[in-house]
Amino acid sequence: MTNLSSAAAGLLGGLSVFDFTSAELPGEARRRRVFEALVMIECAWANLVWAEYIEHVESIAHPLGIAHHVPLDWMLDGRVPWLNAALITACLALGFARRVRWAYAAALVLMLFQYAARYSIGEIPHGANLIGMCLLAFATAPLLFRDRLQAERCVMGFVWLSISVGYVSAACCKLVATGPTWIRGEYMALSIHNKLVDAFAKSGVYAPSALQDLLAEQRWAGTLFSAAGLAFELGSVFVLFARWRPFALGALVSLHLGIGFILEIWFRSATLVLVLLAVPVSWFAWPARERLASGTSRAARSADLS
Amino acid sequence: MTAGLAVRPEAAARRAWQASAVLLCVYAALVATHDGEFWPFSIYPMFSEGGKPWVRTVVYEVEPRAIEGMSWQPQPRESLPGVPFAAREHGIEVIDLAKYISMTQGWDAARVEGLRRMLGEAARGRTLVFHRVSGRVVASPEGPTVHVEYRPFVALDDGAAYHEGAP
Repeated sequence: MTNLSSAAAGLLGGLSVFDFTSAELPGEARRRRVFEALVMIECAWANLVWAEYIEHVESIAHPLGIAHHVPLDWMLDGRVPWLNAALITACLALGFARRVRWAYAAALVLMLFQYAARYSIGEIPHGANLIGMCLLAFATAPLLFRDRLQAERCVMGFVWLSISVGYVSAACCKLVATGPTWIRGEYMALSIHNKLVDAFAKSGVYAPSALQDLLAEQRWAGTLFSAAGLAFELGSVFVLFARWRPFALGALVSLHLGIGFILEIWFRSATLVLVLLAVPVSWFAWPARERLASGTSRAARSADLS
Repeated sequence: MTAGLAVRPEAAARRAWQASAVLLCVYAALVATHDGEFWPFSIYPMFSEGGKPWVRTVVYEVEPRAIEGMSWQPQPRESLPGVPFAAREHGIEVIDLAKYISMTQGWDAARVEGLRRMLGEAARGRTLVFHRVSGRVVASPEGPTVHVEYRPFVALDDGAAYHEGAP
């Protein structure tokens, strides 16, 4: 019992969400800035794509999100979504340039309208949820901390929480709606046939890949892949632990690649964000001067320890 | 955000956790009251129902005279008449089209007009047959297997709409 509680304490002791104490690693600041740029570019791009589609939307048939509370018919005027996209892009640029503290918050609010106008016709995709959560993190942190480094560290804490909560929630939905039998191979086969028909309707070509054929025909293979996917989603709780974070993020990247190759659903922005966060921070220690400094400090630390 | 305005690390962590608690409460409240979706918050329910039957729409372009005497019974995909109509080439969202078709109870003038509007220019000068494609897991002697059925649902040309039971 004592061993169990000490193991639990050790595990929780490794919890590392908001880190305001450790020194900056070489490349860490650059990685945060590249990550921020990626999120903002993906947000700006998503808004342009949504604006283009809103031109074809006739009416708000199935209100979603903010559309439950605010009539959005005015968003369906051809010019409004483009104007909104321009405003959002300007806010994102101001936020990135550190000109206005609340710029990201304004962009997030405007995006609520753009998203609701685009998707209130029936389909509810989740490709832009992670970048939306990241934008929420970038919007909230500067309002909590005036110190730049503390705000940036806070952003990363919010992002770790968002990733973990989102993927664990997805796993819980499966376990609640279906139970452990969710991993059955024939369910995977049914989903593959669904996506093949979708692709056929879009392109007029029915062409399953070798992997899709295998998973549709061999139930054991479908069960194996589904079980791995569910385990990776549940394992996202380890994103909250610095030691396990690269492995948990790597597992989520492989989950998205699997979904892409098997079900032809590519969560591009989420995958890019996860890849960027999974790679070692030392890769961003460039130019070589910083790498050298990193190597020198590591050598010094080793010398201290010995 | 100005350097020199840093708070003590313990106070910073406390503030960040308090804000996280507030955000998680807002998250929970919004998804609980909006059917699990309030962007960017979501419970991510996609694919949560294993084995859930699905319905989609596949469109074929046929010769104008092919509609006369057309069978409205389910057929294997390989023997469907005509050539597959690539919706993406015409800027048509297949999910929206499938939802529209599956939610249509009867093909009155308004529903037919709605379908024409959805297809836009793509429908002009063409004879199109819309197949309702449904997939489900069925019991069989070898165990549960996937069954996919293609059934003609409605056909459309420049002049009229045709469906099962219509003159």
